[in-house]
Amino acid sequence: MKNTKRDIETYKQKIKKRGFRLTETRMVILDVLLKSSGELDAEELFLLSHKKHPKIGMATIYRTLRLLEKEGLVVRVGFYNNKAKYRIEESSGPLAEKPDIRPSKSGLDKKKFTGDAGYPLVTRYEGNLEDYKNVERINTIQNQLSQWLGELSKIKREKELALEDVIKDFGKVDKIVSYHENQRSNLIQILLDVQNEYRWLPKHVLLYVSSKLNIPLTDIYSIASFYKSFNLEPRGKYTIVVCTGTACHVRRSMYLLQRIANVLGIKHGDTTGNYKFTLETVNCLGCCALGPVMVLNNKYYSNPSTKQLEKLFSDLD
Amino acid sequence: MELKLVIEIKNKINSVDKLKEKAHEVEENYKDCIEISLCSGTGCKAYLPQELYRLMLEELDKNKEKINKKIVVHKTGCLGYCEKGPIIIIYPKELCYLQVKSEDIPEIVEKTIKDEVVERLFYKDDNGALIPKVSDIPFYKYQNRIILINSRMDPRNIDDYIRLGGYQALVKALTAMTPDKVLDEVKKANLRGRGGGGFPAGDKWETTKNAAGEPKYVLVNASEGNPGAFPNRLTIEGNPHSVLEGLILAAYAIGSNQGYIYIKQEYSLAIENINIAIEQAREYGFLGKNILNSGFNFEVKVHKGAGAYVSGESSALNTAIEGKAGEPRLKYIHTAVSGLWGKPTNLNNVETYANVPQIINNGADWFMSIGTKGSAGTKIFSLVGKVKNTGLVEVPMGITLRDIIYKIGGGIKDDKKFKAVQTGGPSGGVIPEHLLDLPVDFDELTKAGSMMGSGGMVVMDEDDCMVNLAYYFIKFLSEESCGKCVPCREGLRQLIYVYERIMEGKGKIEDLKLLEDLALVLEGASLCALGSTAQNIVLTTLKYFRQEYEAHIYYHSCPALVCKPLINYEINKEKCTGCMLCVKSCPVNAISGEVKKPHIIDQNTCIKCDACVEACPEKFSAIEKKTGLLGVKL
Amino acid sequence: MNNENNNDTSKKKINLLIDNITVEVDDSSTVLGAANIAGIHIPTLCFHEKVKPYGACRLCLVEIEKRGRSRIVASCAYPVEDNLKVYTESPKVEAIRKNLVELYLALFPFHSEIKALAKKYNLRKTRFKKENNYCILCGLCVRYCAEVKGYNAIGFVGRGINKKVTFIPDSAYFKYCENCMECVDICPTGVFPSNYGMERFPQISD
Repeated sequence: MKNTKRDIETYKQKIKKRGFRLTETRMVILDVLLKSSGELDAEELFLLSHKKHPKIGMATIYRTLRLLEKEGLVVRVGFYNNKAKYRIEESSGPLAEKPDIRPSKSGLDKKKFTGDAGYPLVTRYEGNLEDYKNVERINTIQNQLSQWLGELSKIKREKELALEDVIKDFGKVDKIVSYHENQRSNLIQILLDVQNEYRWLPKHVLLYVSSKLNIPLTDIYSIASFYKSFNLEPRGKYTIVVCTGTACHVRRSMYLLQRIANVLGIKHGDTTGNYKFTLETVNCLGCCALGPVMVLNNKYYSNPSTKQLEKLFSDLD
Repeated sequence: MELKLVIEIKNKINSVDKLKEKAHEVEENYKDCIEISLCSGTGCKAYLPQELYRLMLEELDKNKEKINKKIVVHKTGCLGYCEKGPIIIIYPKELCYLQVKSEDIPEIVEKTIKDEVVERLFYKDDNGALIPKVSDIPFYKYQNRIILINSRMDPRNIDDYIRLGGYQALVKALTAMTPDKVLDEVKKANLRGRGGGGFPAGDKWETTKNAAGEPKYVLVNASEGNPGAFPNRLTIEGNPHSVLEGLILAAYAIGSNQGYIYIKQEYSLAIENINIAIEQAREYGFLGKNILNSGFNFEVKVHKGAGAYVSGESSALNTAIEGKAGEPRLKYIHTAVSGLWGKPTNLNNVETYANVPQIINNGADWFMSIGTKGSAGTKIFSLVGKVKNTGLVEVPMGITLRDIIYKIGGGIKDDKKFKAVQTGGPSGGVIPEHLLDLPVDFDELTKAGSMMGSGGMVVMDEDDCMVNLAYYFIKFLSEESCGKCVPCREGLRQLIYVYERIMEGKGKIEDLKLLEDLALVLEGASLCALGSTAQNIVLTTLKYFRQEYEAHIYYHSCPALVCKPLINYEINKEKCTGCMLCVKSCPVNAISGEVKKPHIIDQNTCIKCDACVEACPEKFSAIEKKTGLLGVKL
Repeated sequence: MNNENNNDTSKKKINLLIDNITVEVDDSSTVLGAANIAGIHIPTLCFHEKVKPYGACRLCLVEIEKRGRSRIVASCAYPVEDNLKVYTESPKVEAIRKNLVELYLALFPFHSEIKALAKKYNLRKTRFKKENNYCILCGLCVRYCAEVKGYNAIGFVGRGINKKVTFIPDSAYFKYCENCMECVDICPTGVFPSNYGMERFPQISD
């Protein structure tokens, strides 16, 4: 149980001490934070504050939170896996200096971003360093990688390391990029070839391509997520493709999808738990006379029954 | 005897005489020769044409001594009659064998060597009469195959194309015509874009030519986002040189030296074939520097598209080739004036380019003699859905829809009742029965509320629900939309909500007005044609099939028995013999019953997956679908 | 300072008609710019002087008449032309804009421009399902970060109805944004980045 009155006075003093104006809106937000027993995320804070003071907009919330955080009066928790939540920083005396951002159970540690992560990297660089003209670039990539790994929780990291065999060194990527003449405008072609090589687009490969072609990573992700053929998640060993073009739809391709779901337990877009099968839909294979069509292992099947499907899937290892 | 397997590299062709010489040479090769054309398009891929080819060669080898004439086997592109694939055509007699299986090959080889026929593989019409000649078969009789001359050529062999008259137009243009003359001829012929818009190609070429800026580019749009249509794929797979020739002619007319072919990466066979075609054309000197000693240079590159329907739109395609996310641009400056990297760019569909060589060869007047006044020439359609003869057809403009569906298509599968035909893909609309006598023409189809599109024609019968169809297309568009502008993105999102409500039986009467208002927003406020043509499917289904929408809303029933939430699966007690097959097949154990006693489906558990219908033997057919408030079948 | 040459041919003057008012502007201006000079208000959401026009919100639509044919265009991007006739409140535009505003009411009804338009068209409530998405994907933050700041820390991912704005990579926040945050002020809905945009980009499924 907090004694709200006392606390509000303390915090008012703290803010005034740092030279910031205690506006009406700031007081309302502070009040809401103090009154809450747990942590609030920005939207909840907005809704509660807005009720008391309709002039408060989301921008005000963010600006105030940023200010309070900077001054160490509010702490952000639960950063990466959930929405950021905030709570009042409780301390017995006046804060002498600006604190670092504190890590919480799944939060982040600012120190880790300076480079010495201490975590093993997914790829070990093999080969002659001199072959790569820009050693610094490699170092930057490795730093970013360690940052990335630092962000993952333990379980995810193990899964990542387990996929190490799928990922070799960057030499292959270099070959692909130079085949396409290191041209920015050939980015889509490069990504298609990279995906053929690795079966998906791993994050660090994208980081490498981004630095090699000097394209901001944002652009690469925009393009990779815009087009349907790019997979940003690892795929199963076999890809089952079902055509859902108009002709096959009219011949009830949805029943075929349902039958596959009955047998394997996955919907389209999913991969089975053992990473054996991935179910995908395409817009038209051009074999409308065979509709509804399913392609597996480069063979085309016309409207397979449940029995046929069971046999097919169990025959493949 | 010789079996032609290897493609020989010859010297460059750089004059009219050399081309004629080459054509003559190839023709000599085929003189007195029996040609066996085996359809190897992707449509027949499931039937393993590779297998058939190998078997055929084996058989021919086995019977080497008995062969007294030269026999050549072509692996051709799609022959169009996908329903009856695989197809073999024997020339010069034009005999056509349908639905050939591997077991038939030895007999075919044996009979062909002896100059005899295999009657059981011929086409049988409704009266049982046999039709041996390919051009007499109803499917082919009403077509006018100008571009799809696939049947006598191997798409990976440029010599075959030359033999059939290929590259003559290019030679004629580069040696005897100026670029302006080529442009004038195309303009005169009224060649309208075959990609959907129907914009006169000659005018577009002229705008690009007159625009300021160098270098100029020519693009081929082979992205074919339309699900359920594959004419572009088969043109590139089966006759890639016609597209190349058209492209080079266009570049010559416009004054461009660099071309790009944007083709979807799923079309692996088409990409292979066009790459081989480019290589072979370069060998012969039809590409590269100083083509045919005319001083004209031209290079072409293939660009793979990564899977986006919206990238088929012209400004989006330009953006995609530049290596960015294929979003349409604000179109106040046309791409013909400022396209790729800000330079004048001409974009046309595959089919448009494929028509150009014929126009130059035979003249604009010949082209205009086919088709209607407003739309000259032929159009390739992929006729799919509930027709008997699914496949790829090339018909002259002006033929009625009824002729296409009944005469060429053979009528509705299983002789059910025709309901509607959908043209133009997700950007088009439906055409009901009373408009079936509409001629196929750009303007007529647009007037009816639909559009020609790139060539998809989906036929639907009484078992297809129009509400579900509109929902399917809107869902497709919402995922394929680039998401940039609010009316398209949010409008489509709200449309989906309304449709889901209607399909679940929670529709309200105001929803119909809501659909119309959303269509208005989409049409008026969208940035590009994806959003503004999305209204076609909504408005046409509302206009012609309003009673289906009302049945969903008022009676909570789906007359076509498609919309899952509105139908119930019930077992007819009189027909059920208690065989327990459906009980075992149900994935959620919703069917209960004992042997020899009628089974019952628990409606609360049933997920309507159709597994029981599949399991119930046809002679019983005891599982029925019912709809409507009172469970009465409407 | 440079001497301005009055006969500078690159700065041609164009005359056009907006709502029957004649306006004279430079030839590099857009219809929206011309309307501002004339004092006519055209509603906008995704427009900002510092970045290039994008044309995503579609509120600035006007009807233009050229050579006898009329078209609906986005005034923030349409370049001015001689003797162009522009109507900002013609019946066609009003009908479209009314339905568009109704759509916005389901998305983000708190913006002053939307509220003013809703009042004008007498729209109290919306028939559409409320999205409460708040982010209208106007792209101002993305464009600002790319064009003005050059950091490229945020971008669009996905397409169609699944389009979102996020930080890429997640660590960009620490590199650039902590000391900048100017995109927060430019956001018309005030909601970017929702909790600093840390929507987890799809990684290996947990």
